[in-house]
Parts: sequence; C-alpha cells; structure tokens
Amino acid sequence: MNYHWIFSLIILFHFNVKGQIFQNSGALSTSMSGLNVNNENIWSINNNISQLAKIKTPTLSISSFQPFLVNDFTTSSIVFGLPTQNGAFGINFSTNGNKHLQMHNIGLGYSHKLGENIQSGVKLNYFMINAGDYYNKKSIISADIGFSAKLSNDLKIGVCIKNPTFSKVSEFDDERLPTNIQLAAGYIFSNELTIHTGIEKSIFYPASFLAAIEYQPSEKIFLTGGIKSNPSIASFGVSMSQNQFIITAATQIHQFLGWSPDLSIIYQFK
Amino acid sequence: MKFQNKYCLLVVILLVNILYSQTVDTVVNQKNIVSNSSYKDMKKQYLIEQTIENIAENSEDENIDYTTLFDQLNFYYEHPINLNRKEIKFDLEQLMLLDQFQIKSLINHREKYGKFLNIYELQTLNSFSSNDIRKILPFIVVNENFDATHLSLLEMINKGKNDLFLRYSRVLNPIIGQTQLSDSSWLSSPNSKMLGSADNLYMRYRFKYQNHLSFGITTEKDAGETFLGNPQSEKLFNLQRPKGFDFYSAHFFLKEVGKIDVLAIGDYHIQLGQGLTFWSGLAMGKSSNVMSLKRSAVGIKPYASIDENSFLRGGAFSIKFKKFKLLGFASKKNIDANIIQDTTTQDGSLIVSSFQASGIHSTIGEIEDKDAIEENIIGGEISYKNKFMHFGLLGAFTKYNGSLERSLTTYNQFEFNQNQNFVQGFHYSIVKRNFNLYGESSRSNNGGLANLHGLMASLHPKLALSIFYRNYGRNYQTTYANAIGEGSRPLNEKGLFTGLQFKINNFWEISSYFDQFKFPWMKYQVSKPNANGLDGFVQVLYHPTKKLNIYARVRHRDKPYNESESIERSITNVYNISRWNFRLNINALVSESIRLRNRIEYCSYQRYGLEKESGILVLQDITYKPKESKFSFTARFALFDTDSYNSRIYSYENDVLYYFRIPAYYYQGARSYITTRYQFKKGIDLWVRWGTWMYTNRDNIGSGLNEINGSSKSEFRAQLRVQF
Repeated sequence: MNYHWIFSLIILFHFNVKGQIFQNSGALSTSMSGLNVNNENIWSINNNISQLAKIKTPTLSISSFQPFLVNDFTTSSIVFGLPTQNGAFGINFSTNGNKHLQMHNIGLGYSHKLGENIQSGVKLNYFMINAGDYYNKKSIISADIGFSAKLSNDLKIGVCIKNPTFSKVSEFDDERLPTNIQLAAGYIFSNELTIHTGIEKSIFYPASFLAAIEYQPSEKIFLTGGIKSNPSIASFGVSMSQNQFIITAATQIHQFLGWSPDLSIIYQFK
Repeated sequence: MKFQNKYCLLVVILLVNILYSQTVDTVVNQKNIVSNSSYKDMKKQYLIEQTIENIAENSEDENIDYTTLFDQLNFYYEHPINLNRKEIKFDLEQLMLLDQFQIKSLINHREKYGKFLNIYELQTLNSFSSNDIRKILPFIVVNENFDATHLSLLEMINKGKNDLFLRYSRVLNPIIGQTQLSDSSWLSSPNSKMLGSADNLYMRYRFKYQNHLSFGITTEKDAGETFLGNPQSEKLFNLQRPKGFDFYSAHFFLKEVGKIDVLAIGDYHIQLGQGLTFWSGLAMGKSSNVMSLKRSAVGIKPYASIDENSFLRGGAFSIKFKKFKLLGFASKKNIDANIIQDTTTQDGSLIVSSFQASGIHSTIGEIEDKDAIEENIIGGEISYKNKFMHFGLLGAFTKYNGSLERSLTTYNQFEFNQNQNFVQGFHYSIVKRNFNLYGESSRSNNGGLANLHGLMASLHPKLALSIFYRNYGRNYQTTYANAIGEGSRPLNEKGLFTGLQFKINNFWEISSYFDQFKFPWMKYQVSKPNANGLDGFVQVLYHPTKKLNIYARVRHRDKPYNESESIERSITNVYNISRWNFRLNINALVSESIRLRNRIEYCSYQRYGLEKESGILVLQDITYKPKESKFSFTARFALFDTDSYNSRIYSYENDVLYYFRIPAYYYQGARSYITTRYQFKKGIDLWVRWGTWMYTNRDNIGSGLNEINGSSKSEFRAQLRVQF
C-alpha cells in the first residue's frame, strides 16, 4: 500500500530529513547541509530560535523542499517574524503529505537578547499527524531551546536543542520524537567570507560532523556550500537579493538517494 | 504526556525567569535589591567552583572528594595571601594553581626588588601569563598590613565562624534493593534487600577560626542504610543495630597556637613526602598541568569529608624547633572487612578475607562486615627545611587485630597478607636556581622497595620540563600510600614520565606529557610479567581574554590486558587495550551574568581481536548568575552515544556546594540537570538540584541491588547551609 511504503521510508530516513518532514529549514540551511544554528535569517524560527532576535524588520518567507525528488515528501512552510524591543516573535506553519498521510506543524517562538553578545530563544511546536481512518490522528507538543553568542569579533557560536522534552509519539514501543542537538562555530574571515563547522547529534543516530562556507562576492549575490558526514551529503546554493526580496535556490546531493532541491523566498517589510 | 508537560513547563519557567531578571535596569544609580555582601559571597562560591572544575576536568575518577580543596580555596578567598608577608611559599602551594617555579620566581622577585607595590607588578614576572594571574587573583592581595597578632585560644573561640550543612538526596526511581520481600524469601537470600530507605542524609557542622582552629562533626546515612532500624531484619536475622546515622566523624584541630605547630584530635589525614610511604586522602595524578606532579605535603590535615574508610582516627601533633620539625601520629579505628570464621584456632581469632572500601552498609552482609576489624597505626616523621632543601625521614607501623588470609594466586602472591606492616621512608627536595630535584624512597617490612625521583626544570620563562622516574617493587606493601602511577596503589610498576609545558604567548599554551611504564610482575588480568604500556597527552589552550577559553586535547593510552579468548591449558597472551580520547571545549562568559560551555568529546576503545568500540558526548552548559539577584542556576543538556561501558566518557557535573561528581556517560541517551541556588539572606543558602538520565536502548539501568526497571533515572538533591 502506498502509505506503508511512505511510513517505512520516513522512519528509515528520518534522520536524514530530520525535522524537514515536519518543518522546513529554509533553502540557505539546505545549501549548508543543515548546518543552520548560526544562520541569522527568518528561518531561524525553525533552526535556532535564538537567532530570530537579530531580525530588524517584520519578515515573511515561504519555502518548499522536495527530498530526493519524491513528490510525497515535499514539505512547504511559511514563517513570519516580528521584531520587538529586545527580541522577536516568530510563527511557522508547515505542511506535508498526500491523500493517505498528512503532517502539519504549527510553531510559536520567542527570542530575546540577553545581553550585547548573547541571545536565547524558546519555541513551542504542535505537530499533527493524520494517518487516515485506520491509523487515525495524533498530535504531539514539543519545545525547542536555543542560544547564540558572539565570542569575539570574529567568532560566533550557536546551539539549538530540539525536543529536550522527549515528547512521546505513541505508547507502542515508547516511541518518541527524536531529540537533537546542534552545535556550530562560525569564523568570520572578512565581510565576504565566513566558514562554519559544527556537530549534530540526534539521540538515536551517530553524530554527524558538518562544515559550510558562505561567500558574498557582491551585494546582491550570496553563494553557500556545505558537507555533512553522516549521512554523507554535499550541498550548495545561490541567493539573490533585490529590493526587499531574497530568493534562495539550493540543493543537497546524497550519495545514493540523489538530489533534494529547495526554494525559498523571503520578503522583508519596511 | 507527563514528561513532556513537566519539561515544557520547566522551559517556560526558565524563559520567564530570564525575561524577568533582564527587565531590571542596568542603570548605574539603580538602588540594589540585594546587598553587596551576598553578591560577593555568590561570586566567591562561583569562582572557587570554577577553579575546582578546572582541576577536576582533568580527572577521570568518579569518586574524588574535593571537599578539602574547596575548604582550602575558601579559606584563601576569605583571607587572601598577602604577597608581602614573609612566609608565603606554603600557602601559595596549597592553592594548587601555581607550580614551583612560579612561586620561586615570585619570592625571588620580592627579594631582589623589595616588597610588591601592587597586584600589577605580577605582570613583570616572566613565568606568570595573564591567565595565571587571573586564576590566582581572588586569592592574593598586596598590602602592608600583616596579620601578625597572635590571639589566645579564648579569643579565637569568640571570633570564629560556624557553618552547618544539611543535605538530602534521593534517586526517585524504585530500585530492586528496595522491594518488599516476604520473610521466607529474605531468609533464603539475606543479601538481596537493603534495610533502609533510599534517602541519603548528610549533616556537617564546623566551627573555624581562620586556619588556626577548627572543630567539626560530620554524620551521614547512605541510601539503603537504615536510620530507625528495620524490624523485619531484626526478627529474621537477630541483628541488633544502634539507631541513628551510619557514619560519624569529629575532629578538633589547632595550628600555630602558642608553642604548638599542629595538634589534631579525632579524625585527620596525614600527608608526608611525595606520598610513597604515607599519604591518606586526596592526591592529584597525571593531568594537563604537568608541573603539578610534585606534591607539597601538608603534614596533618583535619578530616571533614565522608570517605568512610581512608582517614585516621586518634591524635597527631607536630612541633617545630628552629629548622627541624617533629611529627607524630597514632590511630586506632575499626574498618570494614570480610571475616571468615576459623574453626581450627581455639582463641577464635578473626581472619580477614578482604577489606571493604565502599562505606555502604545497607545489606545484611555489609552490616556484618562493618567495623569488623581494628586497625592500629603509629608513626612519625623528622624533617629539616631551609630555603633550598627539605629532607624527611619517616616511618609508620600498622597492625590489625586479625590475620589476613586472602586467597592469593600467582598474580597477586606479593600482596600484603599478614597482620602487621612497618614502612620506612626518606624524602627530599632540592631547589637550585631553576631546577628542582625531588624524590622519595621507601621500604616495607618484607623487604619490598619503592623509589620515585623527579626533576622539574624551568628551561626558559616560556618552557618548563618535568621528568619523573618511578620504580615501585612488586613486593612493596603499603596500606596508606598514594603516589603517581598507573595503578591505584604504588606497587609493581616502573615508569618514566616526561612532560613539557610551553607558553607560546599570552594567548596560546601547549602542555603535553608522555609516560612509558612497565609492570614487573603480573597483575589482575595481565598474565605475564614485564607487560608494558604508554600514556600520551597533548593539549592546546587558547585564552585571548578573561571571557573566553578554548582548549583541545588528545590522549592516547595503551594498557596491557589478557586476550579475550584463551585456549584452555595454553599460555594466555597479553595484548594492549588502546584508548583514544579527543576533546574540544569552549568556555565563554557571554554577558555579565551568563556563562556558556560547549563540549564535544569522542573516545575509542579497542581490544585486540575484538571490534572497536567508540563513544561521543556533546554537551551544553549554561550558568546564569545575575549580579543583583539572590538566585542563580547552572543547567546542562547533553547527548551521549557510546557502544559500551568500555567507551565511556567522564564529565564533571555542577552540583550543590561541596558535592563533587564526575560521572561516566555511557550507552545511548540524554543527560540533563539543573542546579539552583537561592540565598534567603546573608548566611542562609538553599540549593536544589534535579537531574535525569534517559536511555534509548536500555530496559534497565544499573546493576545488582541498585538496578532500576525502566529507561530513565531521576535524582533529587537539596542542601541548606546556615552560617553564623
């Protein structure tokens, strides 16, 4: 049956697509192979909520990600961020699925500047899985917590812990949503070049080492690339900014499973 | 639903707290809610914890008790060492933060240029990097006033301070040892149940006047031990136990009062020389601070921790006469041991099959072993000390009122197996310019010899070298010795340790060591003599400012071990177990009240013929300590994933004051904890800690009577301190 196959694939490759089955990380994160806790754009709502405090104006973005070019895996998300006096609020809505299985996710997060050099944030997520008449519906609440800090003029770090609450998916086999921690350090060589390295660990799977590079040759163009060790992925992407829009196209290349393209459009209100 | 609600609530409370405290304005003229002194007190505790953390980070021993070190640092924080005072060498050594050469260069500088004008003058000393100065700053002061007045005993009693600690801990999950048993099932298997509740209670009272007078009482009940008695056990096993705490300790300690140099009555520690002949209590081993290999023995120390077996109980004194010192001590106490009934002797003398060191008396068997045998020790030391040299001659006689009859086989045939022992030793230390030669030689009653000799050299202000040679005989026998080596006791080991510390500049520092060792005779699970191994370590440290500290370290150990499969009736081969450890640690003060620590550690374990086992630990700590608040906390979230217990990774954890743990992280799961502190008013503090282990691939945690059925383990601890 159709959705049995989807279920097993989702479970098998859950780690690879991480929360991306439930929520997008944005094309910039996809282009960096998922090393996203140091990214300061609007998609930090889903990646590292603490970075959201850095947005300066209300921002809206939509994104669509198609892992391995499989239609049924396509996830679409919309995020909106609203800066406040000392921080920012963010909401996101994501959806994924086909006629047999739908997964939706709503999240609300708040990020706050704790000092000149440090921000933190908390986000609450509400997942809904609708598996049809036979498997029924399920909703799960989880939380994410993140920190980001500027250690010196050239060095910044970011940490995000997803689902430290071990939210339960089902009683059967004590199944839980994966808990995940990502730690990254970014070194700013110049205004044009930043190198990131990091480690990601999901509670169920071996640790993964990541590295990414951000290069901005001109004001309007931004090139990024990244690699990841476990599973073995390479990725790259291009961003173009025009007026208040930023369009990013990116793709990941998995050794066996192929290409996973992602497209995001960000609009920054004045 | 239960777990996630609890956690979500915690996360929200956390955020609310952070938000709340940040709404307090940081305007300079804002009236303070909290008085200056309570802020200073919390800052002090935090600084001392940081210092101990730095020392503990290098350790891999789960049960080291840093209480005495904490006491020392606490004392020096309250009474900073005045760099212009005449005799400061001993105090600077006790800080455990400076090496011999730094202390020497400080004293030499003062002799050459006169008294220090202020703290900043330390920067002119080549051997002190800014990082070193920052480390010792809270514990030193420069001024002209000397605390030279000698108070009488009565005046000291009036001016002293009291503190009282009460601590409660409990593992919240039910364990096998706590299940109710019927009379018949307990009778058939007496050691399958603990007599007492799972609560752990600790109380400590201390009266102190500086470091001159100290008096204290400590009591403890471990988890599983019974406080009010267990009627079922009394009926079934005819066991009569006194009610109350399981462990009591008291001490009375005087230092430099009148003609007395040191006097201790009650429980105390003796630490002499380099630890090869006699040393009870905590001692540092190999660490990233390669210059700390040489120990500075205190002599007599009051005992105030809770290790129930390794202290002395009785009396000790020392007196000084010009440059000589005479020290004597005597101890008589009961220790835990496993007794066999001997039917052949007529006087019913006791025969010990083994000593027990855990200090836990929760089952029938453990209670029977408690205080089973009497240990008598008498010893002394004569020493001479001047500016360049320090010599000492010492001896200690130990007698048990039973005979040891451990079933010894080929590999441990040289172990102590009688009822008395007499160890003699000689230790020395010679300092000449930028070299320090030190060592100790000891001999035990049966003719066993042990030697250690070391050399520390400051070859250049930026480069220091440490060489340490040891030769502990296979038949050297001792009960109270603690010297540098691979084994837990200094016997059956030969080795050469070389260490190098290189201060590249004010930002970078490299320390490394290489230790090659050999075991002359067989050991447990090493069935051939002369098996050798090595231990190598390199650390690179980057500390550009006082707010940021990053280090990376690599350690490789190769230790001999029997092969995993041996064909019967054939010689067992010995191969090496190879271990690698990699650690990257970032410690950053990101704002005035928040400190972050990130760590990634990877280790691998490989035994010949078996699969390689590896493990990884990723952890995130946050410490929140706002300036104008009575509340502070430290929290951790860590994910770990190791193939087995062999590839475990150790990590120091923040806990309530005076409670130190370096647990091992193994199997696959997550660890989280939060330790909070609230100061009600000056002198009254409350700590509350809650921690949890969650495993993904286990159905039970722990073993034996402590086994928990389930995949998570939670622990609660609360501590109240009252100072008056």
